[in-house]
Amino acid sequence: MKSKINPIESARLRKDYFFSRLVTGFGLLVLATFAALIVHILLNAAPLLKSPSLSENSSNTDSTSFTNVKPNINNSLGRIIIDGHWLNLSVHECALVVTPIVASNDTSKRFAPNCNKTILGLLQSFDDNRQYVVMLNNNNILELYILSNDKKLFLQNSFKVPPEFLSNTQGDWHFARSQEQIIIRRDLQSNLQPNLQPNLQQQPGQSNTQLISGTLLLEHSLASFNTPIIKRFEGAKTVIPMLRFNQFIGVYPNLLQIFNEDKQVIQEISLEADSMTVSLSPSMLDLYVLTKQTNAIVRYSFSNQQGQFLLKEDFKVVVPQDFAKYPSIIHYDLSHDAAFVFNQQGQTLLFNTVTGDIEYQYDFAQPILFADYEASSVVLGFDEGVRQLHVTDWQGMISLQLLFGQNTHAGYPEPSYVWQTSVSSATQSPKYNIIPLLMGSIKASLLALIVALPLALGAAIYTAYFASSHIRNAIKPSIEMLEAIPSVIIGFIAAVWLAPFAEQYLMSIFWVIILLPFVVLCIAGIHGFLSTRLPPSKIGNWQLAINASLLLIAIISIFTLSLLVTQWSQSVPYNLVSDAVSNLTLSKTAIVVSLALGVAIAPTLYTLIDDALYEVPEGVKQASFALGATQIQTLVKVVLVVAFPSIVSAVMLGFGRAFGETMIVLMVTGNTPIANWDLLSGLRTLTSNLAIELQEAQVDSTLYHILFLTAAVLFVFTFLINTVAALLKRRLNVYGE
Amino acid sequence: MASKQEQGIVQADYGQERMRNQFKTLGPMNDPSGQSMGPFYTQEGFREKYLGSLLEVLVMLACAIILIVLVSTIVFIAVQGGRYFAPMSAFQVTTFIQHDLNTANASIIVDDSTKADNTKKDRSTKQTDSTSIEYMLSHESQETLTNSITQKLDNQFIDTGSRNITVVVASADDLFLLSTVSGQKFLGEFDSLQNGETEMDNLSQLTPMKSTVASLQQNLNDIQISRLTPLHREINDLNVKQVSQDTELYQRKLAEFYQWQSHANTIKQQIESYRINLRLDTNEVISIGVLNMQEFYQPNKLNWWESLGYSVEQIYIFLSDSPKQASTSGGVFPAIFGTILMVIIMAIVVTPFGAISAIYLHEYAPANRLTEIIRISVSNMAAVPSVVYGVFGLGFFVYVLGGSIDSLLYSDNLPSPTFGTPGLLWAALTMGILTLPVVIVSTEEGLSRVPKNLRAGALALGATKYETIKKVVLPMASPGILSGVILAIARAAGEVAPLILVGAVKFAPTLPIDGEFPYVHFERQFMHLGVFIYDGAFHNQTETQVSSLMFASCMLLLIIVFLLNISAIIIRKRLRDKYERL
Repeated sequence: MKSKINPIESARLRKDYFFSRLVTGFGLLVLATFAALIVHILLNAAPLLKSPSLSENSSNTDSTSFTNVKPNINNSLGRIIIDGHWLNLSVHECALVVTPIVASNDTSKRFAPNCNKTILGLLQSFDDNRQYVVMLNNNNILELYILSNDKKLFLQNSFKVPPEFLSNTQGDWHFARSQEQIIIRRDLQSNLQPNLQPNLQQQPGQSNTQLISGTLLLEHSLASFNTPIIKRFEGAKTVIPMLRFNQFIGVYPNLLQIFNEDKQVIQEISLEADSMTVSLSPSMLDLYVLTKQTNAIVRYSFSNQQGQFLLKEDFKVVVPQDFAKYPSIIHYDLSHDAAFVFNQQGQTLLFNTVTGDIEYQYDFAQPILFADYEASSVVLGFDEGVRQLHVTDWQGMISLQLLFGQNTHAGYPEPSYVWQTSVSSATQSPKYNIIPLLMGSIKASLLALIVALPLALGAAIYTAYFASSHIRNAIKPSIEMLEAIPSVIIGFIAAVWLAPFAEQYLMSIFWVIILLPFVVLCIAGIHGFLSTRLPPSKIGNWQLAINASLLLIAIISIFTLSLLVTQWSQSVPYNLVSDAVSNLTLSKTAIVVSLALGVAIAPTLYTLIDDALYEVPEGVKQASFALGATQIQTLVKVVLVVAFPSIVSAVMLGFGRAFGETMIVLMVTGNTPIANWDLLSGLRTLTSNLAIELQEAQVDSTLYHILFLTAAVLFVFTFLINTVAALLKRRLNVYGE
Repeated sequence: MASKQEQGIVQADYGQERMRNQFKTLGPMNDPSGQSMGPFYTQEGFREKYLGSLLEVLVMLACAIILIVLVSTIVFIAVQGGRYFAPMSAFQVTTFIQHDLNTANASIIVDDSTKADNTKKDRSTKQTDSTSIEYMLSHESQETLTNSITQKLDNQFIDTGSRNITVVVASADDLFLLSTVSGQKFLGEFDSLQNGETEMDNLSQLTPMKSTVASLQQNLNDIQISRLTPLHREINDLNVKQVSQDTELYQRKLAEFYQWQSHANTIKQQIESYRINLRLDTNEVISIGVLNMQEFYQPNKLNWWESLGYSVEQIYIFLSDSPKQASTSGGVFPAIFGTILMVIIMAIVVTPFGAISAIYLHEYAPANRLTEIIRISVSNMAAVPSVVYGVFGLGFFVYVLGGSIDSLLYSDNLPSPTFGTPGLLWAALTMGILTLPVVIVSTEEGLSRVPKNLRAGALALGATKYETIKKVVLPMASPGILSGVILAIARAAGEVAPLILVGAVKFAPTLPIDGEFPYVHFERQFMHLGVFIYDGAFHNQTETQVSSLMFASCMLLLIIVFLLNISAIIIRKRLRDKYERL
């Protein structure tokens, strides 16, 4: 039956309908918020799963097309990157010409020609990240010019080159420079052998030439006016100077020799086959060797042995078949632990210098004439022209091994877990191993649980089982009130007062902790005695207050006593105990953190356990009493057993709370990411690490994604704990029914 | 274990009557049936009971330890923070360091006399190698101050044997404490008052001098407001109208302007000429303009009434001033202001969101899988570590939302971000999400306390569901919403970790609200009480370095959080009582 609805009625119904939609919308919005939280965090952690790859410029999406600019390769001195644009340096009619490689707004610049000077080459310094142009004038004066970002040349240094270095050779010039000295290398080649790779440009500290009769090195100290020293290495294919360590690596066929400053051999390494490529990374700590027969890049790392840096074979990166047959050139990106290997046939590899994993492979299937790399940008010269490529998804270099495994980083003697995101110099690489953070989190929260659990469990048993409802109603809200103390205040007190206090009165605290069980036993005795002597009505509700004050008095007296004893023992010389104690430092260590964190989570833990115990049905207890069980039997065998799943779930939630606590660990620990379980060392947790590092992390950098990964770890961890705790709680309910 | 058994046997001799008494006290208080349990006439039963007593005392002590630790934390903060408001006494600390190997025993003399010649005598007799006099303000008594200074000096020199350090602490009643407007404090003897070239030794001239300065300052203000500002505006108008500078009108105005300006300058100089000179412990005389002087008094000569006045003034300064002198003096007004503003914006966001979602969950949601998922997400949101919200806030609100707002509305300012940087709005939204579960849970509790039959009655009278909720359910459940919002505010006031990431800073040069359009600046960074405390602890690592201002801030935060929590508890209790009557 259809009745006529009047307008007021319909307006009411419309409002009702509208409201129900609105309310439902808000309900779904809660879900959406939660989903946004998860999805955003996971989305930002997800790029770690990608692999780095080479791609054309973002403006040029067609991956097969080549840029149409073709530089004059024959005269090319080298290619540099200025303001993100690749420039080619060449000599044309005695003049230095700078032309952009890829068409851009930049115009080419031609310097004033001067035929009195020979432009020898380009020097790229890894020490100060500057480009130098080296010229030789008619008087054999070598001049070093800085090429500034606005394409101007400034003379920085000049010195006279001894004639014997110039006279007898046609070998290429190679330059290397550190803050203190400049080293010039010329590989002398026999006239019989044609230059096999005239165009493959070489970096300092790298060689791919063949069949040479020796190497000349010229060393000039920038700080002095002494004549440069010339060193001759007979029979060496090339020599790689290790600038900062004053050592040289001599590369011979089938042999590597390490020379010290005085040209004495300090180490010899024989190779399985003729070395094809020997390359020293700019950090001067790793040497990569490709030999003809083996299909592997062998990494040797330098380690300090009595003042000398000696090589040790580290690992092998297995390369594809035939890769090592051709000379290759290796470019390093230390900030990403990456190394690019381009061989002459166009095969390209990107491998991780820490783990040795090959992250990216590509075969251009045509000879590469030259290859340059700078700041994620690669220029490759082919017969057809030049191709500029970009590295995308650098964060993909991060592997599970890097995040969770022990790794040997450059300069570290043995494999270790290291979290070090900011590096002091360009030659160091950031290390992202989250094991130290995980260990810190687990260490802090487990210790806090050890401190808090006995206290909270005891207090909860007292209020839920022993105490009268009167006392329970007074204590429970006050402890719950204390739960509301902001953690920043507990952290503040722990950092400002507890840590210095613990350091100062270490011995006394030690005594208090040792004597506490005896004190408790004594108080229990006194309590038993009093309760037999006094009528129960008199002490009834005052038991807690009396015991608390007794405890307080006892602790204070032990403390003062031990303080006096310590003072006395300090007057006695060579006291073993005080010596041992004075070597201990307690400030800002895991122990202090655990105390502060324990205090912070104890009220939470107490509330949860108290609720769990109180929820045990009265009937169960009564039944136990009726069967003749004593109070203690009922407690241990009935109440605790029934409430056990709930107590476990409470403990888990307390652990979760400690795991997620940020401020206390941030303020009390020294925030040192150390991977050990030592109680007297500092720690850094996942949470405090986020608070410290996230704001400084650049958006979409590797660190940014890793920090989101740690946030996801925290999220998943609490999610799991929460779910398991809820399931356990549900089990109790089934049990109770 | 042996001792326990022994005690058990000793106690067994007390006899049955006592044992029965003891048993009564041990039995559950609310359980009268406890009397009939356990075979306590045997020794075995007695041991059992003694163990029971031990266990009870143990758990009681655990409870006591928690209470002691937490209460002493609060007392510690209250005592340390209260010091900031208590007046300090001035002391003269004289340190003699003797490089004399023969008299190698350190002696400490506490000198009660206040006369300066006494210390001079000491100086002459002991032939010290170095002597230094220092004026000091302290809460401590003379003895503790002496001890702490001696200890500090002892720690400074490793080979104390070859030195003879003598510290004399005398209460310096003649000293004056002068605090400037910028928060600096000077302790020294009164030297003279100065008016230009003339110097006066008479302190009684200070009050008339102050009033003169005040009237001069008033004059200066009058000139600036009623003369200079209008003239400046008129000249500016002429400039805008492109009137030539040669015209008579322009020249006249300009002359007038310069005349008043020179007049103002003379007054300024006059004000500057009134100065007060103070002789410091280094024997150096400093001169401070009377205008810059905030307080000038003798700290040791305050009576209790003046002390009270000092404390009240200190509290006022603490609540209304901004931090000065590297957070050692002044107040925390910007932090309080920032906290309150952030919390208000958060409450505006979270109250409707939380309350309506709770209404959905409790009144509308069908019992299906989706509702269960929503409930699971609410309970999980409550458990997520707070710093993860900070990560979300920074990644999503600041970089994603703020970044897109910037590129849409503020593209002129790019690349310098407007909303794409941590700020007030993003902090408030982040805290809103963080506290959402608190509001939802509390509101749901309030809703579930509304009796079912009231809803049924309203529906039976022909009300729609909307009307039932609006007119019947919500008014009764409103205390639940209110207590939820209060708890959310308390949480937001005490939470620090996410705020460090999304916009709270240790020092913000400007408040988020000011006279500049659009008056409320949502994009600005702000100060937060918790972040202020965190920063104070992070940069001063020991108790002695941390100023009592930090403890006072802790106390304030604690008071705010406790008051909010207590009010939430009271509201909740009222709600509960109301429905118990129904």
